[in-house]
Amino acid sequence: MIEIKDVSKRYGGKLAVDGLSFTVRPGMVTGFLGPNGAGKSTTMRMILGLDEPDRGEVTIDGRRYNEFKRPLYRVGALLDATAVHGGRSARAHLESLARSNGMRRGRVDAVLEQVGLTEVASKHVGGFSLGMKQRLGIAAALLGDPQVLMFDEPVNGLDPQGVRWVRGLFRSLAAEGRTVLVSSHLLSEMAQTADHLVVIGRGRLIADTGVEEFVEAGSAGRILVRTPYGGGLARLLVAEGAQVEQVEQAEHGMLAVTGVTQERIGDVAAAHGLAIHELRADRASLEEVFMELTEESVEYRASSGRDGSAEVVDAQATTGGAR
Amino acid sequence: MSIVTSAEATGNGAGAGTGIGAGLPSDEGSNSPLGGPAARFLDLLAAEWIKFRSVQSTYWAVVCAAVPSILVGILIAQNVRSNWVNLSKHPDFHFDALASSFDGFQFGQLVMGVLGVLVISSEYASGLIRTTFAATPQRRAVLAAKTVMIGAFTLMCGEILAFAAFFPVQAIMHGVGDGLSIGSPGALRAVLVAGFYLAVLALIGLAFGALLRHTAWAICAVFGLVFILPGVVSAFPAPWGDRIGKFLPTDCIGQLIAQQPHANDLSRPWSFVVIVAYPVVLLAFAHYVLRKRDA
Repeated sequence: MIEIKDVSKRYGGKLAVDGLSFTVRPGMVTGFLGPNGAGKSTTMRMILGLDEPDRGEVTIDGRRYNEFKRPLYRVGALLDATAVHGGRSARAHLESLARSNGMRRGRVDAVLEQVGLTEVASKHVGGFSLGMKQRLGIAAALLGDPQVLMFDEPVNGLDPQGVRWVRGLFRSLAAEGRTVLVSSHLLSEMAQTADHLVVIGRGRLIADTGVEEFVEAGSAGRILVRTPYGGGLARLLVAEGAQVEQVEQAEHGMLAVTGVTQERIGDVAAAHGLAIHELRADRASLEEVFMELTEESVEYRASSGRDGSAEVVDAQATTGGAR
Repeated sequence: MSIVTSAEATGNGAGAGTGIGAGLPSDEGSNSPLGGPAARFLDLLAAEWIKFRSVQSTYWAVVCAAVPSILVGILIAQNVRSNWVNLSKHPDFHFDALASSFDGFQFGQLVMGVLGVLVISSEYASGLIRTTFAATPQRRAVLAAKTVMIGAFTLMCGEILAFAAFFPVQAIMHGVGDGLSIGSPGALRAVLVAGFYLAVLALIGLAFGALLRHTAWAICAVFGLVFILPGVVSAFPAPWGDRIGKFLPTDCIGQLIAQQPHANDLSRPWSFVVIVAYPVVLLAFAHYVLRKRDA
């Protein structure tokens, strides 16, 4: 479990992380999302004790990272896959890490095998593709078989098979009860991997919610109805107390309806003999929600209560507040 | 997928299990017979050694240090010997066969300094330093391990080079009756200190690398200390050139490898103290800074 409590970090004049609080729980993959420059990497560096927060506290299982004498057994992290010495072999890179935490030699071979780098273990890392370097970084994170794992943009540079492999790996690590935090600036990627999302923008928390709730929070409960009888159905639904909007001027128009349930719309249409060709909840794509929530002027802030349900609140009140 | 449990990996049975609640403090040295502080430092030392020996630049540096360190002295001695008849007619002629053995060390010292710089600056350059510090949050222990590792390695190389530089030059000078044996007065001292000096330069390089975190700047600092600064200081108006110059590492080592002590320099014991003080002070400062800075 990783706990971030009211953490702020300033570099020079730039506030990289601003009063950030969230908890990464075990047993699931938590997606750590935000546009580039949102403060994801800074937050991860603070989790690893590399950068000291100006304010607030970061703990792993209740302890500060720097208290761990052999942290690789507790926390495995991939921060930057390219942060390796190009002239060193993959095996030597892992061996030095393993040795620094007093591990046996066999661990290195085991993780090389696990990430599929056994064949090239004695080759210089400088000749590796970005995808191979990602695998090497993941191998380093797995060395100590830790309960807490963190990966910063691990999918970059992986080929499609690699992407599928890495998703499966994260899911199985979480299924074993581990805490898995995976950062990305691509929401579509997280949608397929994560169970829970922590979204930040400009160093602030935007959402801390399940993937499902996140999408629903952004879709504002609209229902889309496609029917050739748009005009007639709209009048009937307005009479039912709904708000109706014509969203597509296509041959068969699309109505966006709020204020009544899908069932009620279907019943009303059936009662009046109006054919419906499509009836569905307007699930905004994850990307749309993400873009909306992380726009430069953060308009909305979706936060989850203890019960995990998402609520969208006006963030102007919090952004305007004194910090 | 299967993952070897850390109990297996640590081999000490105190590792955390794969279960979520099994938060046994496998990272705690006190719980493990293998994890005492002494064993830990040896682990860090071994890790640094693996990093050091697994890059080619290490081997190239040793070759680049060895060739001039040994050859330059030999070439100069050959030159002196072949012109011995003419040179010895000159009333002011004096040839220090002992100090001249180490003429090539002014190049060797630079390479050793660069080697020391690279031990840490290459990690900053690639970003590997973050991985290193994440694996070992006790940063000063990491720097201490680097210090011991590079210090021991360059001391060994330095002593080998010093002996390898001494004997050929003396063999050449024997031809004109000016050669020394290792038993000659001051000879063993000069050889041992010359080798030691190469390790000192490596440690100064390491400290500059840790402080400046950029390879180029740190190499400039080493270069400035051993090549530029002596020239600048000697240009100072008298008596300041001598007063300051005698505290430079180059002057101190010159005093320690000479057959006859120089009157203007520090005494030999003080010269040695000053030479040792350079890496000690710089590394102490690096330790202090390392603790405060973000990685």
